[in-house]
Amino acid sequence: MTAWVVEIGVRSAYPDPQARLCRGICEDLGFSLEGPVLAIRGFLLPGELEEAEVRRAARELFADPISERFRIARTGAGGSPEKGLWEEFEGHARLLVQRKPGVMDPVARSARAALGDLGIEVEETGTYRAWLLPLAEGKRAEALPRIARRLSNDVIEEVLFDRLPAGLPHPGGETSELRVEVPIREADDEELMRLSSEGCLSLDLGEMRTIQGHFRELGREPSSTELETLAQTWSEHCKHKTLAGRIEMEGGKTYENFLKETVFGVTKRLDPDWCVSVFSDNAGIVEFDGEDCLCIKVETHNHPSAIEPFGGAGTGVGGVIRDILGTGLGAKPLCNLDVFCVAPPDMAPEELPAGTLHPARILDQITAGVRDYGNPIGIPTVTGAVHTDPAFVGNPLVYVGTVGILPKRMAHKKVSPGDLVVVAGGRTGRDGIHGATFSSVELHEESETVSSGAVQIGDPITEKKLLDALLEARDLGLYSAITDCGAGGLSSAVGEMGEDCGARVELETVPLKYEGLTPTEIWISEAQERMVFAVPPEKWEAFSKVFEHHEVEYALLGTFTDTGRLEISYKGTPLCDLSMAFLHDGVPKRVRRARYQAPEPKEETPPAELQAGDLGQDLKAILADFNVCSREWIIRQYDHEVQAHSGAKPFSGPRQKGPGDAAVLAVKPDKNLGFALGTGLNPRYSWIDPASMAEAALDEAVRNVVVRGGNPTRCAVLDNYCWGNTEKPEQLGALVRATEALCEAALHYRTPFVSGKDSLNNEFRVGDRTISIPGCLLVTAMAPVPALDKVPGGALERPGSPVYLLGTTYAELGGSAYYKQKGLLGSNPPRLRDPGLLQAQYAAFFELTQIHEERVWTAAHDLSEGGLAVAAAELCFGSPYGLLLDLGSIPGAENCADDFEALFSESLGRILVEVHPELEEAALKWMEGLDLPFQKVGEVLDEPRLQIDGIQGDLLLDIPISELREAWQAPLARGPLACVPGSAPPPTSEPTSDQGGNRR
Amino acid sequence: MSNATKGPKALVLQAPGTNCDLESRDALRRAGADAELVPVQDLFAEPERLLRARILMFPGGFAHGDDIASARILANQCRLRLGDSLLRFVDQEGGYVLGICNGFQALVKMGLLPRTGGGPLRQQATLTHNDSGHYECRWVRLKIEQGNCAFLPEGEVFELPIGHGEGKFIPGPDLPEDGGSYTALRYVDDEGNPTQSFPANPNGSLAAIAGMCDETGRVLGMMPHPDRAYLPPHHPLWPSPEAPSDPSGARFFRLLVEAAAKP
Repeated sequence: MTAWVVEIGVRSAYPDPQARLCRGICEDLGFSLEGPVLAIRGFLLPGELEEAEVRRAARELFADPISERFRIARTGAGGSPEKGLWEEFEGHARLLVQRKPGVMDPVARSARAALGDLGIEVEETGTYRAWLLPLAEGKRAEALPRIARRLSNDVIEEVLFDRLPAGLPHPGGETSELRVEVPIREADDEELMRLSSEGCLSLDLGEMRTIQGHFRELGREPSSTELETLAQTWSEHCKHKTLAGRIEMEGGKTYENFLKETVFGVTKRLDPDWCVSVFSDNAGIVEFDGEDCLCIKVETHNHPSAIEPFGGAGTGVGGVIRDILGTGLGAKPLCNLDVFCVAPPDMAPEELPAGTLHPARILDQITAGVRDYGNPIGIPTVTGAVHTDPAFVGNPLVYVGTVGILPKRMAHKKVSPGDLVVVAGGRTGRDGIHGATFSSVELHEESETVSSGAVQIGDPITEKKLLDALLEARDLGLYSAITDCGAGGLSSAVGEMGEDCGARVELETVPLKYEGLTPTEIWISEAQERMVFAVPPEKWEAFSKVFEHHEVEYALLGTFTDTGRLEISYKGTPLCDLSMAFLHDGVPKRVRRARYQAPEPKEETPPAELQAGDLGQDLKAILADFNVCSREWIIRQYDHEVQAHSGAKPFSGPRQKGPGDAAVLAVKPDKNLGFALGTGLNPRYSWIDPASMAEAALDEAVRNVVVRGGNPTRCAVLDNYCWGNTEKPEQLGALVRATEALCEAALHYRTPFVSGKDSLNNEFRVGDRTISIPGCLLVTAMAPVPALDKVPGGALERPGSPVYLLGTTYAELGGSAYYKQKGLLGSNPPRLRDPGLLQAQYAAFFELTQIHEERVWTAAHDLSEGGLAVAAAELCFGSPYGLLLDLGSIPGAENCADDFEALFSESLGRILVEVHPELEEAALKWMEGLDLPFQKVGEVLDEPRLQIDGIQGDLLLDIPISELREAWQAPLARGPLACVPGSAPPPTSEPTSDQGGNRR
Repeated sequence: MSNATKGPKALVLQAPGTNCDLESRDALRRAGADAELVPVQDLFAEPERLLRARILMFPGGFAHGDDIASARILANQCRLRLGDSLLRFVDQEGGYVLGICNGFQALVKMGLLPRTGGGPLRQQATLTHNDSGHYECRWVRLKIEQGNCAFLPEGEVFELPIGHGEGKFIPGPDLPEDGGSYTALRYVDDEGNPTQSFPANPNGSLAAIAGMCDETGRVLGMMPHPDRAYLPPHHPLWPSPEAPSDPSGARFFRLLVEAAAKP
């Protein structure tokens, strides 16, 4: 079996980012290159083609006629050694990276179709990347494997040195016996647990015993398909067994169903009439205006992102988008958000535990993953955050969220017996087997090798086509229900949709990427970009037409029945026959014990010498903290403009340099109507008190949307937990404490929870040491913005304008960015002392803007990490002006022992705001009338300086904004990889490229 | 189809992976065009639809995922399956063709731009990876060049956003190094001078070229997105008083539609 190889390289006169990337890595690793590097894009074509056809394909399709050149060769079994293909690179070392057989390769699929456009019909194509490197002969054995590790990920790719690929990739495997019975009726406990762990079922003993009991009653053994179906449906990922179970809190309450009594309970008690569907569908649905609803969902994709950050983050985005597509009768996605938690990117490589990727590489690759999914699919990524803590080293967190819009009358779905079971979108392969169950397993040094099947690469264009087709079919009323194929694949999707009636599916009808999958693999594969529909038989023809027109594959798998059973067969052999009742309600209730023990209080007052420090230096150091610094390098790689709904950019002001808080989407510009979307998370407080962490998350999320014109009385929130091992009572106790504080606060804020999710086993084991993440609760807030033209900006607008502070400052430096700079943690983190008052502050802030024709608040920022000092600096970053602050006049100055507390305390509920000079009096009267803490603390200066007067009236600081801005922009200015200690600065060009004067 | 009340007919092409189609149609409609979406395979099947239109727009996105290279697959399909109709539309019918971002890449790679001397479809320039090595999304300033373009006013400065990973314009050997009269728009600095410095020139384009026109002046391709800048809230400064009430994108589409409305 021979194949043709087509290799494409950039002409030497033009820039080549791939060559530059490789040169950077070599220099980084200390290997010197003596001459130019060539980066190659390779294509594999079937050997039967005529040479003339291959040449034509290379000329017209694969290579750009202006900037690129190509070479053609034949290759054969074993991989032909490559010699002299690129004559001027003769003698260079060749490093080649190709995807393992069966890993998604959208380019290969597109290439096949595009060759057809040229009249060249082929069954298969392949792709690879290669580099020709001028490495000294003696260095190669050492250098090549190390360079390869940085250019590839062995979870999904394989590497070849000095040869061409052996031929076209051929995935596939042995087809095993169709029906395999698993003897469990006679098994003892040990045997049951062995079955669970060897099958990667992630079921505990109680659950295995329940299954055993069920099949003893039935008088037969389960098939492996049935066991897998139960494992998928009962997985923590799908059923939230821990948090929906019984929790006994030591010295506190016992919950029969923790989630129902806490977060769901808040929504039930508040019961706002604008909540349309909460905690039942794939996403929460709230009313937007007379015609439409908004729906919102936030997910995590932590474990896949730990071992393959690019694919993990990308498929995370793809998955949460499908949640929105599968909500109601299918919503149109409007925007994405992402929040990452990683270890500090400047971590010394030698400190990395075995089996982990460097946090800089993780951050670089998750950014690329979000970018390369979100941008092509045409959904803007509008807001997010990055948090760093060394404890995320083995367990980075990747939160991804999507908001969609849905006509009101399409908010509900109903499957009827007789409807057809239809799958559409991507084909099914052996990718993503056991993702749902893998997500509940502790990660460890060998996770990478054990779990490669759980990792996937996304294909955004397939999902885009699916999106376009399904929205058209929706508007034509061609299906009665829809859901996404996510965790658990078809088994979960069909199982869920048929829960109230029943379903029968013939697995041989599922379109496959390649032969050789066992029926069980087909059933549980989490291959991406698939949706399942319930199509009334009379709509089938019209449904098919729409999907054909959009070039989206679809297949009829079976029918929804009225038997109350889930029946699966493969080519006539029955594989599964389970009652829906046992499948969905049979899982035994989990019982967990929880215990909360406050950590030993840390020394509170920092040593006196700290205060003697240079305030300007302190502020610059805080601005340069990875939790505070500019994320511009990340944000600019995301398309935040597509769909033309952008109402407030991530960066504000005439120079687009000032950070924004929440994003605003001007969805209905003709009605002056949009919505604001913000997030809150501060893992650092968790080390002191999880209750503080939870309150701060809710408050910051809500305050962020209020600052951008969101209506606080119509604010919906989402809870997303990422926690350590909650089988440990202390971990669960911390979660209970956080949740109780969260719910108490949400009741006062009158913010219903509309959706949420938990990821509960974020621990990393290396040797006998376990690294647990700090308890993290991400709160996402979304509220309508009824007057887009009144939204405050993020940068000071007018010299001479008064600047006010809303909200009281307390001595709350525990967990603060200021203490972090001093190497301290502290013991007094911010708490919600009077949540009712803060709610009143937000309502007042919002209502005043609705009363006046003019824009009352011209610029505003919330106070969070770094306190007043950072908020003040941020208001200046996007502005040509400066700010004078007087600490003596802030509300609560009397609570602060010194200027440092006043400046850096991270007390909740505060907003720093520039007020329209003509409306100052009205604003003051309004706030005073409501008895709210609102005081003038400064004014906008003509000159770009930050001047701060201390509580005693002395001049504390007078510093040019440019100095502060540089400190804030510097840490991630060249991306996370440049932060790794000892990393060489990235080369600005390849020596071969002749750029003339055009380099920047 | 088109009549006086509806304005000139504009077709907005949709290929698999096109993602700026809806806002492009909206921007054209608000500028007075009778705009509709057309899947590209429908136009391949029925190319005569083109001859009933005045404007053909290739909107932004990632046609076919930008697999192999940006817009390459769409460009090949158009050259092979729509080439004659496109040339007739431009050369004989006096039609307008607009390509934004991925649409610009498609026009260049199918050879409709710049098509020196009005010759056949043959690629004469390219758009390649940004100097930064990755996608960039930001607002830039652009100056209209004295050139072939039939509807943009020379010397005017536009503010528009860009969003692309492959926007660095490289002229081939048939073209003057600065694009000559084919250059329609250049990236400029605060003083209005063409610039090679990042981020004012966001991708390192040679001679700061941001957009090109053909000889007829009726085929225009550009990397920046007027379709993301046609309503006041789109502007980064909005709602401050500094924000323009008539954003550049709105003016851009009005100029195009007014020109295309003339017989």
